[in-house]
Amino acid sequence: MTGALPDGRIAARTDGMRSCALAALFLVLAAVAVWSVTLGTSRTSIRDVLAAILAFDGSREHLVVMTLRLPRVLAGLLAGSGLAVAGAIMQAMTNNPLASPGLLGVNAGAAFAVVVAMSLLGVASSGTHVWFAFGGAGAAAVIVYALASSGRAGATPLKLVLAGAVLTSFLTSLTTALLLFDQTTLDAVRLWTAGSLAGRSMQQVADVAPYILAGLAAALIFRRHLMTLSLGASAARAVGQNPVLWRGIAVVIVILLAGGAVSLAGPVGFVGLVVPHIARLTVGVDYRWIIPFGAVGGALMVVLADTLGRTLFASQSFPVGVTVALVGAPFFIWLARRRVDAAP
Amino acid sequence: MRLPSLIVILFLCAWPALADCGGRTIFGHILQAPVCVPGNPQRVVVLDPFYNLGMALEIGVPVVGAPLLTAPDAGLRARAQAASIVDIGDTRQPDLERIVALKPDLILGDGQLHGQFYDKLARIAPTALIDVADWKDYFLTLGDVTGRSDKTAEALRIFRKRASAIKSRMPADIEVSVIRVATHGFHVYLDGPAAYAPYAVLHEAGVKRTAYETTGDDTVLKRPTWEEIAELNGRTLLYVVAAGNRPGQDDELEAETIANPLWKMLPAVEAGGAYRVDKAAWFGFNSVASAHRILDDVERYILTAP
Repeated sequence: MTGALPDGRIAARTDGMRSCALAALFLVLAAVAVWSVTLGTSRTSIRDVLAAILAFDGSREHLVVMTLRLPRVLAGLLAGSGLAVAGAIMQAMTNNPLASPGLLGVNAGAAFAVVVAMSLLGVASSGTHVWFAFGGAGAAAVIVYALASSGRAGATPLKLVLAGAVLTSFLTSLTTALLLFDQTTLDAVRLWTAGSLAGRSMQQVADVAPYILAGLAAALIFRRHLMTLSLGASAARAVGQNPVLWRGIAVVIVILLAGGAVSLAGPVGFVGLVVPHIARLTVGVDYRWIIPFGAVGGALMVVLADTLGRTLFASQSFPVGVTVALVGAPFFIWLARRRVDAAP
Repeated sequence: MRLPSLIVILFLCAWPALADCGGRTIFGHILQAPVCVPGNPQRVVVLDPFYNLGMALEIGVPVVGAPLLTAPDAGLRARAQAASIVDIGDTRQPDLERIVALKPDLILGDGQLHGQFYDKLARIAPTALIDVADWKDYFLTLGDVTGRSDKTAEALRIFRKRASAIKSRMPADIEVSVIRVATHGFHVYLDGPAAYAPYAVLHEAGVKRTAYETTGDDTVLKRPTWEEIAELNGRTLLYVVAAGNRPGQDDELEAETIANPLWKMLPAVEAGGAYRVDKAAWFGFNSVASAHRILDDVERYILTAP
């Protein structure tokens, strides 16, 4: 923790290094994102990509860039940073290193709502599913938080975890029951629940982007408060923070971020759990830095995994939820082991 | 010395099944062969609502129970209900108590789906779990097990005759693309050694698919993205829409799909050669009748197209 260092100059220097690292990571992200847009069944030059964005002429190449690749990359950026930051906030709020946005029931809620939309309401358009997923995720998180807040102590981390686990199992069994009756929906949902960025339209991205961006902005603005929250209720009270109020605010931010991300990419579970850990291993236990690093790192991981997935496993629509874990898990193990070995 | 004695031991093990068999003994294409089945079964339970149910009804097998809950083809389900077939639940977890209550004299199932239940099922009634990939072999095995080999052979003879007549009229130079439109993406079933039944029928009728849709290995399915569907550059495009079982659901997905400019850029669509084909035969293939409906579509859209 920088603030705990006795020598102010060291703190300033590490903060400077962190800023540089963050800027470098951001540049890498930008490069990967641009590279990703140029890849597909045929390579598109960066010049053509720019031409498609700036001077769209309706040709097949421009349509491919504007209606397929660009929305897919943007959806990956938004979903990745949303999930990672939501995961970091969950871990800060619950003091639980295994916490992820899924703990608030957002994944189960989104999946249930999508299955209801497809199976019971007969909604075939995947564009409409975004709103069902968002609504389901938000409703589930609100229910979990309401359940956890009942009682005098308010929403303690333990009660949040329990309420989330209960609602998740409940919704998952309802979802399974619905899918039993509907083989066609089962096939479509199986792909959705693996987490996929295929077929996202610019409209869907534009619809969800404001919520995720608002959540990211709030997380960055309030990152000091989230840091305080991570120290636990008594420490937070000692420095004058109202933990009940700030837990509520944190939950709202998580709903915006994770709800938006799940509605765009499906329940990509791994990112929200592991990216905050990677950030913590790299920049230290300081949520003021974990949050911006998580935002950039999560976006990088999802876009990179999705790009690799659709280049290496072309024609199979490999879901990003799978490639994220395939790419991310070995990296995470390597990083964790290296840190353990380096520790005295 | 080892091999002959092994054969003797194997024969002795199989002997009770063969010796006590009052009906017929089935040797091939089923799990746990040889299995002794009644000569003329009167109360048959089928465990899957796809090939087994459709084919059994087609050749007049007296079916008393089937998993109608998960039957994907509404027409088939209606026929089963009209024949007073009792529902036995989910095909992946058939309700054993209901099967016992139906007092079957033969249970028909699928080797891959139901192999894990064999021991329990075999205690209820003689159980034939058909284990063969090719749909025609499946049909012949089902006829063999139910004592209706004459019917299956005749039905396949008529089918083969029609398919080869179509093949002889098939122009050599046209390529055809076939795609399934599902809610979260496209499915392309390939022409190859392991082709799914409707696409094996296409092959038999001499329909030539595009390079993207043809394989020499056992790949059954590709899931192209919107970008990749440009590879489906056949002169004619047949598409199956499978969004769900609700009324209007398929039409909604079709409208969304064909409005996409990238769809409109497909060669067949541009040339006015894209046709939606029936989901029941192309998605819920379950009998020789399904195969004939595939051939109907071949005649209608590929042979007579300009």
